[in-house]
Amino acid sequence: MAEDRNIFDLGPAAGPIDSTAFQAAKEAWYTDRNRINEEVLPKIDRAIAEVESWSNVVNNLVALIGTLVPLVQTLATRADTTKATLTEAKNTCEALNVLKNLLQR
Amino acid sequence: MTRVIGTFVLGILISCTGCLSGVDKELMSMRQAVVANEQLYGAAAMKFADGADQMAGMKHTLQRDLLGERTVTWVKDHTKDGIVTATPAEINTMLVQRDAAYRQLGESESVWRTTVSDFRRLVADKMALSAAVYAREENAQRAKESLAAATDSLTKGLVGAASAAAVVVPLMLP
Repeated sequence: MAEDRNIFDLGPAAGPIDSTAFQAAKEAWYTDRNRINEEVLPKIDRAIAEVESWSNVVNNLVALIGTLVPLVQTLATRADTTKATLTEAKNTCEALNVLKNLLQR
Repeated sequence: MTRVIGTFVLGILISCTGCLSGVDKELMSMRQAVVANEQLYGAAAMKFADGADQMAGMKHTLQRDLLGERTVTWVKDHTKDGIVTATPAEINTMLVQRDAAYRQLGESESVWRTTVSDFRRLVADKMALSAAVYAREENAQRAKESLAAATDSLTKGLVGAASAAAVVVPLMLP
């Protein structure tokens, strides 16, 4: 019967555009994005902080070496002088011993 | 002899560090190009969303126009010489069917608005994630360069210390 026909029924074209697959893909992407934000990025941040911390340690070592090297150089100069003085004193003592032996005769 | 070998090894190590920093530089340059490329992708995806939005808009406009035309047709079919020939039951049926059709149109528009808005947000979030990852890469690279510079200074300092120690150590020997 013509009266039973629904003239406002526009068929499948009237329905909403099917976005089920898109919604599923979107959910998968956000799940993965959240995993990256919660697990991967903090790990990277920690690793970066560790490398920065090591840089500080190495820089402190560099500063320490910078302080120690002049001291060692000074020590080398003084040790050299002391050695020369000791050699001179030793020579003097030996000369005195020779003189003493001569006098004792 | 030992000093010559030591200097040679040190030279190789410093050269290797130089080569590695070259690779790092190229890698960062590539990453930067990829991020720039992703920005272009993001712009294209947004344009696609605009196009899809336009098509969906046309679909809904057509749907609304058809419903209007169908209403006019129904009224014409149920009017004779200016007098409505439809029974109250027929009018009621028509109104129920027409309301359902408009409700369906409203749902379709609502679903599309959500979909296109989600798509645009997804593209924006993807761009934001890429930017966040690239920022980490830059930070990591800076940290590596900083450590390399510090290690370089340490190597130079150790060489200086070794030369100073080379003078002192023989003096300490009996």
